[in-house]
Amino acid sequence: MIRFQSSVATLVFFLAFAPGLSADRSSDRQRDFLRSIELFDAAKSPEDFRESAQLLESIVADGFCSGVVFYNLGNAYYRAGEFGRAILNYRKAKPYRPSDPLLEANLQQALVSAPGKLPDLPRPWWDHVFFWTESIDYPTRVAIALSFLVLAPLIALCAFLFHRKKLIWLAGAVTGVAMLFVIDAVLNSPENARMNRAVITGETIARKGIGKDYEAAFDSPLKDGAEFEMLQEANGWTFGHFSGIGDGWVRNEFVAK
Amino acid sequence: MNRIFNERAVSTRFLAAGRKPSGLQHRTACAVPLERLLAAALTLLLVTQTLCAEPPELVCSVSEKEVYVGESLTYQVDVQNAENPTTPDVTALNEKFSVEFIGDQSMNQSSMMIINGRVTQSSKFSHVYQYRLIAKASGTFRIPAVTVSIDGKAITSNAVPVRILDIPTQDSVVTEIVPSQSKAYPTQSFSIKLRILVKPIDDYGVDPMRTLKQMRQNPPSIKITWLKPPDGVSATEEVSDWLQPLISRNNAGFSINDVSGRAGLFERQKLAVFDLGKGREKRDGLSGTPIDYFVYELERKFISEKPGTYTFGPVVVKGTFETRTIAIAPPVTVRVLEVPTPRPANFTGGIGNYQVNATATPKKLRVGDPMTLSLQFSPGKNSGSVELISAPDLSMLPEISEQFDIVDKSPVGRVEGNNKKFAFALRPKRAGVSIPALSLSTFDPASESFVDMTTQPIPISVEEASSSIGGGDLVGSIGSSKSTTEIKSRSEGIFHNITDVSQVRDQRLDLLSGLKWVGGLWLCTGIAIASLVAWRRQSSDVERLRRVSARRNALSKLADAKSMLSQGQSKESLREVRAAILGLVADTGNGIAEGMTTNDVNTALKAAGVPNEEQIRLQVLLERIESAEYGVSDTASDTADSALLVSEATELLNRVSPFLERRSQR
Repeated sequence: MIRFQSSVATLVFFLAFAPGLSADRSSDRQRDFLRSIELFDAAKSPEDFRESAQLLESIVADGFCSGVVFYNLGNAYYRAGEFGRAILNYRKAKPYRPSDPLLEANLQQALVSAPGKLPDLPRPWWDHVFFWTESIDYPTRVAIALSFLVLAPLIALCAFLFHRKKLIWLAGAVTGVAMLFVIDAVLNSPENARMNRAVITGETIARKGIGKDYEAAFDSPLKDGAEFEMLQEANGWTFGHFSGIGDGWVRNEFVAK
Repeated sequence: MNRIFNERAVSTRFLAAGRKPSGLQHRTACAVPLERLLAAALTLLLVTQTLCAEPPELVCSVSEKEVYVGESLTYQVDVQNAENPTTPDVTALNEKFSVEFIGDQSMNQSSMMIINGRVTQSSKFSHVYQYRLIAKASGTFRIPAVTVSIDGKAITSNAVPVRILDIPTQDSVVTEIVPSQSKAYPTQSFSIKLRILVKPIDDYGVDPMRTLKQMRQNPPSIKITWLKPPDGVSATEEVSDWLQPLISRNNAGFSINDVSGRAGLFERQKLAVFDLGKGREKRDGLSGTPIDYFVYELERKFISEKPGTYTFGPVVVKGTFETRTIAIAPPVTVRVLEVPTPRPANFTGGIGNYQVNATATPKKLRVGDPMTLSLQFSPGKNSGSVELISAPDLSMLPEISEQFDIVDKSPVGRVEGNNKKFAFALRPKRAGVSIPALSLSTFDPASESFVDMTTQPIPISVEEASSSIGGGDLVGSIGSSKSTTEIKSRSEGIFHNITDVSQVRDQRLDLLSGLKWVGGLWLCTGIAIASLVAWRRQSSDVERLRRVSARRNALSKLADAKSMLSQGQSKESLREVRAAILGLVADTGNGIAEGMTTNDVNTALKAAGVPNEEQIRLQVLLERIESAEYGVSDTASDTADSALLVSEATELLNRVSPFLERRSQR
């Protein structure tokens, strides 16, 4: 009986205060966001830009995802001279703002400025199939997928109710489109991209194994802005494929992901 | 000094039977017990110092005892029994030969043999020096002795006899080596072309190489010296890539050095034959009469790597044309020169003609904003490699250094295809500045001077770095419509932040949970559709509908019969009772009630497994109804009798119908 009462109390508390807590957190984020802009505009040195970036990092620290925040983070890191982190954040912003010309320009600028830039990682084959990814942002694509998936059975139900065979075909077509968007959403999800891609944030030597004693994997050190595909992670080291030069292990403190 | 290779061979052999090695320098160790054999051998290896018991010796030899004037021969000096000899002094050879050092190699050998417990170690020291000699005049003479200094003592070699023959004057075969240029600069390419002019053999103007093949003559041979390019020069193609396309399809042509072709499974390796035909050329013969020569050319491209003088040739062509003929093409030299000094401050390192293109991004920025100035160098015709080009020092260009901070003064260039690209990070120092035309210089080998190339000026828009949004206005201003409007003023231009706070929303999406909901919806819809279909199927099944409603219809008819009976219509009510019974049987068996007899009912009841008692009772009932229906009528007794029949029919129907329904479901 006591357990039941406590459960009810918890539920009541949650229902009563959760929206308030959420609103408070949202307000904090907005305040931090504005404060970061203020710091950015007043910044005179890379340290100032870094401080602005730290504030934005605190917003996204708990998994909060916003294309705007990632974009501003990219700007702050770029101005701080941390091109690798700038590239990383511009790339994070990309799924949420695919058609933003300024984002694309900034990303290209960061890529050009990065001392460690490597040849572009090969684009997956599905990028050529899902041509709309460059123009429709990820949330919209997911919304389209889910809407079509909701619409399809309803159309099918109508087809059975009203004996309209054409509606069955329509339901099939809508399902097909929905499935394309679902596959796109799964393959091109920002989380998926984040799991596979990372960037070097400072000059470091890639090794052939986990540890400093292993010989260097490449003839020259990796530099800030070298993007790579993560293959494995172990004991504070990340194993990655570096386009155009090969595979190697790098210490995690030089990796941003 | 060109060291070809340095080999030190150490071998250990365990032999069952003893046999004294000979011809080499020996040192014999004492016999040791077998069980200590390995340890002793290892100890011996460690402690034994190689001693040269025999005196140093110089052995000279030549590759050919008889050569033609202009033809080269290889002269080898083998310094034996000396561990560290000095290079032989060959100045004595210069009088009659032109001497070119080819290379040297150490032939030192060391070996150890253990025979029946006796350890024998032997060492042989030998260092070979090779020279290419080209005789200046004909005659029979001895190649003079050369001298080598070993441990302060001068050791003199033997003299080698050689016969130099005069080349018979002929105009059947004329050879020449033609370099594309006599001077080059590092990374510049040049070509060496061997031209062989052969006089027609017959009067029909047939290619002499075909004629020779028809005459079953061996193909004439060409001996070239640049199959392996000289050190300091590299070939643009490997030998196989260079010669493969020239292989003759009809086996008519020249052989080149010892280059062999592909042999079949059971064939001997044969010399490859190359088709070098390039047309015809008229030249005066020895008699002054013009000869329409067949021309054969063999051209190879080289890239000069480092300064020096490089000799190509001589080339010897030997073969039986009209008669046994030898022709020698004198060697040619190509000089690879250093880029002269002093060099201009804006010299990029490029040799040849290049185009440079400057681009800047972004073009709209604020003071202190980083921008990228890209310089792309594209090589023109006969230019050296773009690898030579290094990043120009922009800090030396006042028009740049006064207006911009140069973040990275020496960026690493990136070679993209034939082009090399440098990306400089600059920050404008003040508003209103732009990228001026940049003057960069390269070295033009044709005019042997430094030439300037100029980029186009790039207009950019640089504004003062003023903060358009006051920090005080922003912080804590949420909810204020005025400041919200202000912060929405996102300036156009890259690296300007998005300031619209309303856009800061969590865009996380849980696709999986969305799909779960959608899956639930699909499941519900599927169930609904399945139910609909099932219902429709059932509702359109007449047999089933009859079966389901059979009992109800029968009871309804019995109720009607009761009603008729109460109205005094006894005969009609009995008809209705009969119709109820026949209807029940017909509906449950999907038969036709009209025309059904008592026997049909009996058969159906039996088939349904109705107990005999009920069967008999129902049969009797039907017979009674029939007799009452068609018998003499007495209204009072008829009514009482009919009432009994109706109640009995009701009872029997309730008993019989479950059996009939079960049977129909089967």
